[in-house]
Amino acid sequence: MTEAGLIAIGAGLAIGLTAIAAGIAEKEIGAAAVGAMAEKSETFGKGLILTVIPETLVIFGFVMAFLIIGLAE
Amino acid sequence: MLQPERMSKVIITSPKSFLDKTINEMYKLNAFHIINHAKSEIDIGTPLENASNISEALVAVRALISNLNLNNGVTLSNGFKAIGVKNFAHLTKTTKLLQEETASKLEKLKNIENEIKLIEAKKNLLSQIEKLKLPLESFGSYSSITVFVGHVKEPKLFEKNLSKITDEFEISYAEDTGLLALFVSNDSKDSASNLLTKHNFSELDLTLIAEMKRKVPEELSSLVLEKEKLLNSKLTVNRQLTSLGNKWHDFLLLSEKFLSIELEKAEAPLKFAASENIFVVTGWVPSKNVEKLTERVQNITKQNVEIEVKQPSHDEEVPVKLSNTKLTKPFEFLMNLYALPKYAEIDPTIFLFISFPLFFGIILGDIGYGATIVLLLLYFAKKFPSMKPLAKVIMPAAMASIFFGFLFGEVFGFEELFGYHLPHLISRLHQVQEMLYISVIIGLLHVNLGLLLGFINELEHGLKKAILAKASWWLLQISLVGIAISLSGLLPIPMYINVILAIVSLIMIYLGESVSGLVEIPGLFSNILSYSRLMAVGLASVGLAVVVNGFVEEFASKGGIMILAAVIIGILGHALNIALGLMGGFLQSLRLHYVEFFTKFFKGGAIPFHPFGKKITEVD
Repeated sequence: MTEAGLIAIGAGLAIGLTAIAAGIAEKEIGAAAVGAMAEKSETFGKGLILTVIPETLVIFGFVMAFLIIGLAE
Repeated sequence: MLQPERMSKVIITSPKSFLDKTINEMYKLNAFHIINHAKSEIDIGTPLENASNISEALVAVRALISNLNLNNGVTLSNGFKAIGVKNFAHLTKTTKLLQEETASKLEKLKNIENEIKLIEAKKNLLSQIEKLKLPLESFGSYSSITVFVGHVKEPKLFEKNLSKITDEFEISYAEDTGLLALFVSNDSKDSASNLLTKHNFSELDLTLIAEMKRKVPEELSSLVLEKEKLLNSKLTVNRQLTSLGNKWHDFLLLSEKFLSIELEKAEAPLKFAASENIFVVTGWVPSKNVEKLTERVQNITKQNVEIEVKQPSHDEEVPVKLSNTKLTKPFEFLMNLYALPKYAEIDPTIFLFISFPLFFGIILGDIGYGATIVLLLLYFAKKFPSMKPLAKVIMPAAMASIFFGFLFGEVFGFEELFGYHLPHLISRLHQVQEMLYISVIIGLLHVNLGLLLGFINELEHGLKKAILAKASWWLLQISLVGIAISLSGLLPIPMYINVILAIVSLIMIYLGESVSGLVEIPGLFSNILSYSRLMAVGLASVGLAVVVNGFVEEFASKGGIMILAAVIIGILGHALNIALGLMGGFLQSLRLHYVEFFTKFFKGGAIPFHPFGKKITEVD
């Protein structure tokens, strides 16, 4: 396997694994937020904010992936 | 525009004799947010004396509306007067008569329905019995024979078992349903009954058809006739009810509106403070309406009331009414979805109006997609009026899509149409890195705009607090940029200056926002980087469009029937991508505002301004 291939796999892992992590975290928050919204629809804004907090993980993963791809150049 | 509507606190004190007149004026003006008086040393008021009559009439009218299945289609311009609703005595009398008429009709309908049910039950019984092929009179009563009619699981087996016990019986059964009729001499009645129990016998009640003596088909056809007659009379009653409903439709619906208005007025004193002779009502009025209210109330009470007007103090919870221009007003929809700003806070609606379509456009920047969404919106807003508020928000966003479509040179994912390469400022598909930088720069600007608004909001608590809590973040950013410059050696800035700046900013953040501020520091960077979704989600959208186009070209090049397949794939693929892009663009853009932008300055959570009354000219 070429070096570029390994770099590509690394970048893919960086974003893929963080996305899975964010998904696992958001799953629980999202379920709770939907529950709260069903009871009280005004909680939409707060629910949305709380639900997307773990998305930071993907963003860091995305930046890492970008830096890793930078290694190839 | 940048702030919610300015409010004044108004306290009206008046003799009780002017209670109803004052309430009427307040109702008509529709600009008085009443603060409920909590019972203390001063009692709350009692409803006007006609309140119980009104609510009684209202219940009757509402019952009629639901019984006659009327739906709301009356506009008040039809007028209360024209239809005679305003005469309360006339209204109650008419309602009472109407109620009696409706009740008797509904009773009739219920009876008919019961009879129909009975006939259905008889028919059901008969069709079961028919399979036994016995004349109906054989089910009558005998002196020396007992009759069992009902279901067992295996009638054949039962017959076999019974013949082992006795031979004084006659049986007939339908094997498919397991229904049997057993005639057994009274002597063997008990043993037969025991055996039946063992075979899970469930008896069929024949009282419904006990009177029938004719042959089964004859009885059945007479039942059918009878049912037809009943159905006819049911139809007649229903028709009468409908015509009754049509005739009184406007009257009843208008009565309902009129009475609920009157009831609201009659119950208003429950929110007032009252003593034996005077009442006091406290509330919020938009400052621009205060003069009008004062003038009108004084006029009608001949200067007999005392009206006090105060400016809100800092610790008061003032109800919030957003005040925006016609252009930006639709975006209050997004504010209501989140929370209302507090009275002293900046109302960010206008920023939503600018940056929401901007972000949406960057994410879904495609001339074709934008135009499609515009057309869809025009269609849906016309067809479903309830969608209008949402449509008004998405419309500018879709326009922005078209605009950015030109910048990116994209039509349905194509950068080239019929050999003509669309001019573009930047290609999203090929200049990914540049798009990323642009997105993050937008993020930097947007987040700092948020901090600026936060700074302005904090000014209310003093300049020092504002600098510590918000300006400190700018210092932090500057020091970090300084560190980057020093490290790269672009400019000869001594490192220690940057480090000192950074430490100072950290101390300021700690002083301004305590520990929670320090915890937020990584958040600031993830917030800014979060704007990279502008590029990423957009790229995914273009990517999907390119894939769809690839399929279409592949199929179309094969010719013949494949061209049809290409068309179908093209339409379905792009429809899916538009749906995804619309949802993605909307949610991602909204999220950037709610999460990244609002958290920098917005607290929210004010109570909405609910004026007492309604804007109706016909109230008079």
